[in-house]
Amino acid sequence: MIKSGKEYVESLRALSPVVYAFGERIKSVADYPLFAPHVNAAAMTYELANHPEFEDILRAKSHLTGDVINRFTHVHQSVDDLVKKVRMMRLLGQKTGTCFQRCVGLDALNGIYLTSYDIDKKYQTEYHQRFKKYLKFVQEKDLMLAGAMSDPKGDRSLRPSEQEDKDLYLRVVEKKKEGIIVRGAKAHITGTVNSHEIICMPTRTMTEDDKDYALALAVPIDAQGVTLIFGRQTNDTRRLDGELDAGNAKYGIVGGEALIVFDDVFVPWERVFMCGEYDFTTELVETFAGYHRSNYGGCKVGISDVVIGAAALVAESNGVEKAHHIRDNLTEMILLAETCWSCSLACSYEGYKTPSGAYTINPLLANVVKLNITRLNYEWMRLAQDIAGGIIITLPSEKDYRDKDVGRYVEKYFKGKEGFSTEERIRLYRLIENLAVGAGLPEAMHGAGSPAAQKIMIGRRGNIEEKKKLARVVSGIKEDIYFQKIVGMKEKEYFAQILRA
Amino acid sequence: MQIGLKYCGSCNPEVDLLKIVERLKKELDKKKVRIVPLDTEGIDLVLILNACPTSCADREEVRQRAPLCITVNGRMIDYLPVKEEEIPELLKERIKKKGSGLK
Repeated sequence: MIKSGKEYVESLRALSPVVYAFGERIKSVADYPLFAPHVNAAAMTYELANHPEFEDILRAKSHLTGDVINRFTHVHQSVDDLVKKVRMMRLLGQKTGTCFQRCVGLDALNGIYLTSYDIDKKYQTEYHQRFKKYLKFVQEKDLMLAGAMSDPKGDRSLRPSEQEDKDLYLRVVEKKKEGIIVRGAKAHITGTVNSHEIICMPTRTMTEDDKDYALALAVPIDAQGVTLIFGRQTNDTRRLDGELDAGNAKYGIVGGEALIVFDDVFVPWERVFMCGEYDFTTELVETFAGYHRSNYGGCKVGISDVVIGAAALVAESNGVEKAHHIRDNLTEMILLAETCWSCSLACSYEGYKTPSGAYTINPLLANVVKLNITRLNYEWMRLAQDIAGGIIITLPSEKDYRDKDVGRYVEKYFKGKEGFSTEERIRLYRLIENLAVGAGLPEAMHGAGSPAAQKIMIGRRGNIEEKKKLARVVSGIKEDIYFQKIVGMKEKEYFAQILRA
Repeated sequence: MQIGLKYCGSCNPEVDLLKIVERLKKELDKKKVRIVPLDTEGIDLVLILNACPTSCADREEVRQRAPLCITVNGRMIDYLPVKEEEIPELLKERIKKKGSGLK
């Protein structure tokens, strides 16, 4: 089944998660004004799949059932699927100008699909079969999953089992015949409050001492013992002040992250996909991280398309669109964004088939995508600020703009070039403020892992030993058999000949 | 004549495919040409609408849906550059030309 955007919103009303925000227990996620932009953004991942102009990207064929499904519930079966995934990210970034949250769950589905297969191969367990049943359920109902990897971590110099408070990483505290009881938390989890399910993975490599923390599982969002505490962001309550000041009133900024507390939550075995197989935690973490990092050259670039458009429009509204430095800045923004897009395409096209039958991305290039985003996103947002000017942080509020006494001053003194109304200019400036001066920047930095994590992976997978061999051959330290074939003799003889001559 | 439409997905469009189709529909003689869903039986021509030159939707299994095919590839028709504003009219002419051979 493929839900529409409206059906998705309606489906949230049927759930009863325990959600807290701003000191209040929230009764209905779909109806709470502060959550509305996040709900709308996620709803786009549903809605666009119902339109012919987008269905080639937003729909896929389930390899389990043959049914047409939303691509956000699909396990990639080809390089084309990997490429379509990042195209989907760019499309949704363009349509919403924000994080639309659902990709974390998608990447978790793919990561666990691969790893559960490999665990079963080694240990003759049943995780993969269980997972396929769960996946069918997710596809049939077209569910949104909150991919939950990050634990709070406490003292990061200590392993999970060494922490004074053992709950700082999610762990199994009891095993029963019917299932397991888990306790702990997952932090900074995107899109949680407006998801149907939570799918958990371990956050780091675990050792034998940490095997209680080697967990992959899924629970409904309103499972007994699960509590969600919504995170604050810069200017979040602006969305209660009207439309203009929020900048992106429809879709907000970033995904809306929450702390998920698991207070002795029961998880039946059919929803457990790893429990104690610590030797597979590295694989799951790195596989998920690779998938997730590969997205950023899609989604953040889609958002860059919006901010580049906004910057170009404000320049036009100021009458400076032909100024050299403006055109240069816009070109630079495009260059940086398309560089990241190239990286996402590259890591997808260089993807390959795994023993499970599913396809994964090239992990080196996936980390290159993300590391580039952590730097270049800041730079193109800086250029957007440069083009827009200081006005993005000095504009009067919408209340003053609409005020019967002073509104006329705002209207008069913030007018620009003919063809742009003052309100249009305010909307564009606020959009740039929202995109370039807010929570989106740290999200680009830390989402899917911080820069240090990408550097570790790039260093590890950069194949330095092979590169050393290349340098030895080209410099002449080692024999170059191809050069010998070209010149018809050994290198030493060839160069001795040149010296004699 | 029945024409089936296949859209690429518009992940990063150079042209507005919906606008092109809207204008094309106005140009076409509705008595002679019908635009139908791609899975309709007996399509005479498949119009593959790609919003950029990458042309993701131009695939063998899509071309095989009908004996005749025309592609839009961003600011190109059948991979030859055209002016964007002229696309609907040029498509109409090409459809007419290709369709003239149909029984």
